[in-house]
Amino acid sequence: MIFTYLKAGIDAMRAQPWLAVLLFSVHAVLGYSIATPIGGALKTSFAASGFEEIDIALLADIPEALLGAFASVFGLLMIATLVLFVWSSAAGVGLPQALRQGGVRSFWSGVDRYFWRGVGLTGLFLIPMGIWTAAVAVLAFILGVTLSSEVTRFWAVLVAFPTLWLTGMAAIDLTLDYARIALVSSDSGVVESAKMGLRHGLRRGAAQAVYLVWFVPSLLLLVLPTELEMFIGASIGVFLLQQLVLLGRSFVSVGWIGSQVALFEDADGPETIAEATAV
Amino acid sequence: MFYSFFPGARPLRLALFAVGALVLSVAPASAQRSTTSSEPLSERRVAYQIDVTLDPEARTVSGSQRLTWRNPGNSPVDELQFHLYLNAFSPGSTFQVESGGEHRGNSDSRDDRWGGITVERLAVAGRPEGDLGGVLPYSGQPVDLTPNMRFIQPDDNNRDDRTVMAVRLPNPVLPGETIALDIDFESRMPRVVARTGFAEDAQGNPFFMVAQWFPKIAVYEIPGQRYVPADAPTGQWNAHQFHANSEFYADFGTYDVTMRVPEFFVVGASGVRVQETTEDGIKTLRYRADDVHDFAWTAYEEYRVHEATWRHVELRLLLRPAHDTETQVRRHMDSAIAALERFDDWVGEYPYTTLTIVDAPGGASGMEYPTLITGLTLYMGPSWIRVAEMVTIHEFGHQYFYGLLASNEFEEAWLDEGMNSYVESKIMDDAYGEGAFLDIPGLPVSGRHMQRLAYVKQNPSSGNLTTRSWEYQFGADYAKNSYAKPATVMNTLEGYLGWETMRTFLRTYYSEWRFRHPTTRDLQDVVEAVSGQDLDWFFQQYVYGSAVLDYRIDAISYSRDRSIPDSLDARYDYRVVVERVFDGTMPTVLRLEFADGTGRDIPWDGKDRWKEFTASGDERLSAAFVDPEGLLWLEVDRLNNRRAIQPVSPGPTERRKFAVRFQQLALLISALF
Ligand SMILES: [Zn+2]
Repeated sequence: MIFTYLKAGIDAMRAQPWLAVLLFSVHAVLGYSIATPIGGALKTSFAASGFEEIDIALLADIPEALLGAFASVFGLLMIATLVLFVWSSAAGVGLPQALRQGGVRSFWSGVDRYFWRGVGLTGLFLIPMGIWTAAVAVLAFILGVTLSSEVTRFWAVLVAFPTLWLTGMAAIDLTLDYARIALVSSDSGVVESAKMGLRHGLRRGAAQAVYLVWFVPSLLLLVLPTELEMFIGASIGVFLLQQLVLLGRSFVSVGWIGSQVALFEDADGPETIAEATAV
Repeated sequence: MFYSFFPGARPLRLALFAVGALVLSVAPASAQRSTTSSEPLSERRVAYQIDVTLDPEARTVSGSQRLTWRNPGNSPVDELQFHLYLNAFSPGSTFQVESGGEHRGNSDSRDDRWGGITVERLAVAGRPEGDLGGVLPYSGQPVDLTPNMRFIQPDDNNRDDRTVMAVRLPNPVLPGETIALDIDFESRMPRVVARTGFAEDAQGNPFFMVAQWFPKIAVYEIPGQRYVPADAPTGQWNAHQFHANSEFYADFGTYDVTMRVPEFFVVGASGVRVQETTEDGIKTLRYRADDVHDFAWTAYEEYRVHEATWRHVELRLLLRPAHDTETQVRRHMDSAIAALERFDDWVGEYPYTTLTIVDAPGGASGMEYPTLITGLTLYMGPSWIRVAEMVTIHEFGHQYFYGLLASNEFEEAWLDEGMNSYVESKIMDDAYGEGAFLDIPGLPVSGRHMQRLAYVKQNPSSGNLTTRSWEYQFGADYAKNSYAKPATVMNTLEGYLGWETMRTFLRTYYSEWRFRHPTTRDLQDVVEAVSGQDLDWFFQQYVYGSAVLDYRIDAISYSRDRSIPDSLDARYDYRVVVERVFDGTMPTVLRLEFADGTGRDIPWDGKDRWKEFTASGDERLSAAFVDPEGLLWLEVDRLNNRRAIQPVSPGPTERRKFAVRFQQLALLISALF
């Protein structure tokens, strides 16, 4: 069963490689366009010293030197993060639209039709994410100060709670994925889509299995660029390799959604949904 | 040594025990010495024979002590003063008022948290019989002094503080005379908040750190000692109350301590264990510690004991079960031995034969007592964060600055904590390298950098080293000026004098002043004598004062010398302007760096507020750098020490790195939201 969905994901990557290229390009362009002004701000504040290697003493001096530049750097980062959120909501509805029913529709038609409802869904899901994070943090804090055994405290606060938090976040994230697929598949409202997301994401073991299987390569490919830099050092060659890895990671994003779309359609029957959403 | 002056006058209980107990000696007492010397190493103005019982249910340590004290001065003394440190843990004490019951993040609000010490009887003992080896016994009468006891508050007049006690004598102790007192007392151990007391582990097993626990005579400073003028008519008691931010001060002597505990307890203590017997479920232990100024012990059922030997020193490590791993044993033992070796080489011999390292919980951790220290470690603590090592090295270092030199920690805490932090930071870096404190790839944090950052990034102009520890206006100033700043001051002095001179200073300071309670002035005298320099300018700024050191390159330029014809090789005129940003000064060096990679050092006394340097040469100037070797550890901003002609812009590599980080972040965000 799961293999069918995984295969569907891989087929999706192969059928529409430009989707991965699109994701990759947007991130790369955004990254580069803020790297230059942030670099410029750093330059005006501390590069006059001409130090080429930064040690802990210099690093500690930089915040003071950066005070002036800090506002502009911080502002830029905030804007970039906001843009990322918007893009992530757009891609969240664009991808399932492009992948559903054998990929007959375009990414942009999904963005066009569902963008605002997609943003609504993201906003709606931020609420349980926030509540969950706060609840786990508060509980971990309480246990941290009340548990008298250092060993229990270690396992509870540093192992069990982070695992619990991650599991909860993954469950919410999984639900959000299906809610978006439901949104573009059934053309429903935000709340209705969220309910369908819950039904498909949390009540079906296959959905969780598919999520887990894609989670592993996506995590590995996400951290690999840092590892490469740490162990080989930064060079143009390593940079190109990193870009290749990041492109691969974007393919995984497409495959991941592809599998979830296949699973969603398999459950509700593509025909009924096609009828319901016939344009 | 006072102990052997009164061989016939042991406390009765001790004598009864010695006769009646089923003796299972660990080793014959005569074979065990607590120091490497058969002769007294210190002046031994005091001797304690203590005999106590630990009642874990009541959390009390009670019994009696025979205290002998010799009047070291040349005038009669008609009042004795005592520290009853444990009363700091009673309601209303100055410690409670100043600290709000909190010490370094540790506090306890349970109703049974209080502790204290009750002196039930204090009496002059009878005169000893026989040959006293030239010692003059007290000529006054054996008399009960209990009614004469009264609490005094020399620092703050807080009537609720009972940490210093004065006792008027009916007859004075004449110069050179030795008085023996019999004192019955009961100490109730508080819940551990500050160093001493009682705690329960997760299974409910009781833990005891028995420290600052017995009636302890204060230091009577004689004319010429420390800051008492040599021509003063009499000496004076130096007794301070127990404060939120103060430690201790005491005279050297001998300790002979017998403690009775339920047999399941594992015990660690100052000095050397000379006897251990068990009878009727009670374990009786006897310890001797000579030429020390305090005695502490610990009892806990669950200690796991590890032993090692380094030259003449027997190391004993008492770990709590959660920390009982091979790694933890190695980390503690290796760092202790790293400290023993380097102190032996850099400062002088460790004269004691034992060192006990105790893995104590919470507020009892990271503390020093003679030949017994408490460490600080974490379950699963990663090896690249060397807290366990740093604390072990630090607390061991106290054996010298707190233990052997024994400056007055109330009044000049920096002479102990600060000098110790200096040597500790050097040992860390020598033993563990660049990333001695935090071994982070690409961003190592050394021991010396850690100390420096704790000073330069925390309001460096606030407070100075020689403030008395309870008189700092802000709590943070005590810590900064007692630990991080003095360590950084000494690292800077080392940068100025060189390590060989500094090492000679440390060795001389130790050999001249051990067992003699040196002051800041004494330390300055030694370093001046050793270096052959008047260092008052340095001490006034950074030890007695709060000068802040920072140099900044304000401008840098060069121009081609037009008077030289183009047909000849070019010559350039250089101009660098340096600003002394704050009030502190230090001699240093301005380095001119040239385009061909060479450099030229220009020495500078560092005094001018603004200084223009001009020079010329046949290479293009590329940068100017004040203190290029990083010898001025006190400098609060290092980034502004250098200035380049061509600013280094974040190159393509940095931009690429940043872009990749951002791409990763973008993927993470789009995966989550
Ligand atoms: Zn210390």
